[in-house]
Amino acid sequence: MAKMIKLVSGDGAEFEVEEEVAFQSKIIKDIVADADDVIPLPTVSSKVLIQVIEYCRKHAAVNSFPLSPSSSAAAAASSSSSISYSKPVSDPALRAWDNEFVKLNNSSLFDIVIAANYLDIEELVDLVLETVADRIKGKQAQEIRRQFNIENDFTPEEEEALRRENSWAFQNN
Amino acid sequence: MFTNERAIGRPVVLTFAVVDRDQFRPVSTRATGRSSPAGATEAWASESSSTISRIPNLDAGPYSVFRAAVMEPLVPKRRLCPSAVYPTASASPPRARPVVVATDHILEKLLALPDPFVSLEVSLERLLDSRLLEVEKDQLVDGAMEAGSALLEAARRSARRRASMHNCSSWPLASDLTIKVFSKLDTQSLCHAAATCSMFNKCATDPMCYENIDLTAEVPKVNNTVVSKMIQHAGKNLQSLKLGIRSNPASTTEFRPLSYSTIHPMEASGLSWSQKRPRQGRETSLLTRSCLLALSVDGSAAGTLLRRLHLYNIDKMDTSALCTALSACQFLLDVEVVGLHVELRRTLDAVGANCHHLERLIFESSDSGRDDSLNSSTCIEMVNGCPNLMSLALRGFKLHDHKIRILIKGFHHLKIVDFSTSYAITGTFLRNFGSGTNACPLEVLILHDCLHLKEVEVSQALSAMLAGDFKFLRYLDISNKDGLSAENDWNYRCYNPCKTLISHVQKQRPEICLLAKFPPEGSLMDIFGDSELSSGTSFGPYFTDSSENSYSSDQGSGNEDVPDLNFPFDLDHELEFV
Repeated sequence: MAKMIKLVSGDGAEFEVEEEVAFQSKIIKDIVADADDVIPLPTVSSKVLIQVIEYCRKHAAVNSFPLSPSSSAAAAASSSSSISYSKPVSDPALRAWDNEFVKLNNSSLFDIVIAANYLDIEELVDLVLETVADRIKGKQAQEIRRQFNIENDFTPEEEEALRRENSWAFQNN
Repeated sequence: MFTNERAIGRPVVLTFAVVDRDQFRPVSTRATGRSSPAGATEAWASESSSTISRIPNLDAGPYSVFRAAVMEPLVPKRRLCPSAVYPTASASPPRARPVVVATDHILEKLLALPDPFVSLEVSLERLLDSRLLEVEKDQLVDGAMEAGSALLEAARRSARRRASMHNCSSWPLASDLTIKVFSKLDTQSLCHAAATCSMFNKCATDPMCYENIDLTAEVPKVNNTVVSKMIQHAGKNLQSLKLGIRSNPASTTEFRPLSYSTIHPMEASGLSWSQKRPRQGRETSLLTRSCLLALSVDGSAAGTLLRRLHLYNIDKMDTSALCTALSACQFLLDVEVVGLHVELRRTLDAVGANCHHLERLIFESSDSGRDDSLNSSTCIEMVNGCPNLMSLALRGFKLHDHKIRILIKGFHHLKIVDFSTSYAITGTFLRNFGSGTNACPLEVLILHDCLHLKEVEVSQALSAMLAGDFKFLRYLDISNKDGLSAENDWNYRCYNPCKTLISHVQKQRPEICLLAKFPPEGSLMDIFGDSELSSGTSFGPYFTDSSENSYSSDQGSGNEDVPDLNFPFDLDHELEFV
């Protein structure tokens, strides 16, 4: 029987997860190393914790199996450059799962990334931030404001200066 | 301390507002003939202090303390300076508190006017009438304008402040996470994000956002100044620079072989021919040959940081400018040069001489087979100069087998090789690798549309694969829109080459993804027109277009005189796809 770790959410709900699942979070790994099996997470709500655990569960399972031959060549191709990219997940099935996982509204995504950042789950943080970035890509400033409920707080002069400075980026308007 | 706190300041205003309106008449009815309503203010102050006690529901706690702190000085100060000028926001600090409170009241009244446009104009006219001297009238009008614009400015500033506060609560990510998001954006989107609000603008100035400068676009937009500015923004974080013109940047972000794991193998062919054609004329004139100078300045400070350099279809770039840039970037790991009018040999010499850490090199000709500058000594120098090379593509050049062999045998870590659309290469370089220490190390071998690739050589290679050679191979692409070359004369084509061998390899070596698409002969006769090899038509017939066809007369594999090769048909063969 795998060792179980107990996580307690901000609203007091308790979640028991396998050690390898919980250890996707570096913070939890460190805390448990100090011999503490019950980990209170006051800043993380149950709803978010459930989603984070789901991610960790999926990724813990995948990490423990060796890559299949077709994906190992893909891994070879993608790792052909040792520049610090956000590491692409090499298994296409897992990538598909990840893409489904992040089909959430902005507010939920933000909750997850803040929790994942707090728990230091690097891959999840990267995944969500990448998703948020995708929702910004290709949009004009006004669309970005609409999408994320942001208001324009520039003076007319500031706005003019910004557009002038990077006029190449605003040419399509 | 209290006056600075807007939140606590509010109750003070409210207390006035609750009081009976009649007690606070507009200035005009009181200060007839006088421009200074100081007396009126005084009167308000005295009245207000007495009316405060009538306000119900005031908490005893903070409000009472506040009242003590603010109200008490109000009365004596006012009384001490009866000739005080009309209170404005620019009054000196000791007077600031009583002055500000009085203005609050005036503003409150003003904003409560039911029909400001009408009533203000009417009142202003009445005031003007009440002034006897012309100069007084002028002063009044000027004062009104000043007050009006002051109020407008203040309201705008407040609106902006409120917008900023709203943004702070609306956007939940701290700046470190926001910066990380921005670092994943292409540079144009980054500029748009920076233009949304001041919070984003501040985050967008962080050097981390400029780690991967991507100034590629589908149309020319960027000039040299933008490039050097972005490089400056990046500071010590600079890692990657992508410049130039390309379509569908999203589909070409990863090296082709990755696409083989997707469902549509045709995506491996990348862009269609017309898309690869370099733009001419004024379109690409915004980026000139000096666009990479910023990498070389300051003792190559920026160049030394660069790990990835991708250049696409920059018309004005020439070989010397590119070589200069390469010599400034000694730590490059990943280089892509597509559609530039540069000479292969000289560029590879520069690469071999400078970029000793290079792991990935993609070089695609702008000239479709006309560049035959590559020679053996360059190959040897490349092999010695870039020992870590893992991934190599040389597309659209004239490459001879013995030179290719030098490269493949010489790079000890070479795994991925792509010589698509190259000329002269026949496949003899694949011979005699064996399975011992000389075993071919390649995992990915792409020989897509290599005109002179011979069927007999491919057969031999496939047989070797069946015998166990090429044991690391996982992906092989020998597809060709003109079939494979016959043994002695590349004008004669084989449209159904190695059919049995191919199916044997597919059965016995299932780990190898084998792409061998050849055209159905006969169908090409009827169709003239565009030769778009779009990724959507994975199993559609291939078309040749005589103008786009690079297989024109001077593209011979060797020294022979070559007739024009436009429609190489052999109608006896059956239409078949592999």
